[in-house]
Amino acid sequence: MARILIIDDSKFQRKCLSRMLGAMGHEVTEAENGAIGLQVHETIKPDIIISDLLMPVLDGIGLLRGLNAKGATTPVVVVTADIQECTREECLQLGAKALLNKPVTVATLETALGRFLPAQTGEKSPC
Amino acid sequence: MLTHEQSDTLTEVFNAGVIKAGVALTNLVGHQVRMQVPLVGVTDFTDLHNCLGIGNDLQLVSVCQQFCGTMDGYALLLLSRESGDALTNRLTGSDPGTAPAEAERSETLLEVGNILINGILGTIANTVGDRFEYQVPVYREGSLPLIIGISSCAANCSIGDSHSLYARAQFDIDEARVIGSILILLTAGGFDRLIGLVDGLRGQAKATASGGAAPQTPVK
Ligand SMILES: [Mg+2]
Repeated sequence: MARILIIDDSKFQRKCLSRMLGAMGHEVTEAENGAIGLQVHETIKPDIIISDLLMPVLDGIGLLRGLNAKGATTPVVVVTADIQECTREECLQLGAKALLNKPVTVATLETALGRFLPAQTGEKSPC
Repeated sequence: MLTHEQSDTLTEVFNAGVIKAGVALTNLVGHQVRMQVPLVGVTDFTDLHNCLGIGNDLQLVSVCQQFCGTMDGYALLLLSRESGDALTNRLTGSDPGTAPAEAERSETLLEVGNILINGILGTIANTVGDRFEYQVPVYREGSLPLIIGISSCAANCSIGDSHSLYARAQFDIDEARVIGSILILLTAGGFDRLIGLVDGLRGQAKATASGGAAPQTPVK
């Protein structure tokens, strides 16, 4: 089981992701924007962050910059509706481990988690 | 005014986006979604209801997403109230025919709109080698004139501008009886820049083809 922080301004999307991750046996914490996400990250020290990009207050790009500024090494998987190639490149340059396009399926999520969750959480090691 | 060649190229670009959006919607609802070939044209805002085939009195639910970049404008997902409810129920697993709570309807449709609109705009951006910056989507209810009026005002698109491009993509989901439209409206400057990019795409296509250029015929 892993501790996962979901950051998304869409309650509908948070609900969908929480349901999927909960069914996989993970412990989920939710935040509704990047600024709250940064605070929660400090408190709960998640094993992985799943973050949206387009959010009020602080967006996903701001979140990635904030994590970099703090020297955080928590893997971030971006889940976004934005399919622009330049967006993908920018996220990966800022340290995101992967970018998945909405809507995500259970299989896609499981694959991403298997690749990026640290080994000590009991998940599959990186391939 | 669009020439036939510009209209064809625009329809082709929008169609690729509509297909992408259709795949996303199919994955979201878990049921085959039929997307129609988009209708692209130039119109006056006051004639938009005729182009869309949506009566001015019909109560609609909508998701508006503003964008800026080389082109500025906004995109709208428009659904009748009944279709909005049916789609919400389908996605939340609620009983068909029941009226969803306001918050549940807006939260669900906001994300559907976000995914569909990004599918189309993102494809356009990737095709023309451009980038859009998006604003957080906004949910609105009301008649077409009301939604267009508020959305245009928020996005600085002038109502009555005769050089505004619209692209209508219709989709329907049989099982949930959902019929909707996606509209993209550009500012006058945005329209000119899109036409410039489209002409560039056509120029590239012609350069790779061996045949001569066909004469440009105006549409409408
Ligand atoms: Mg968002």
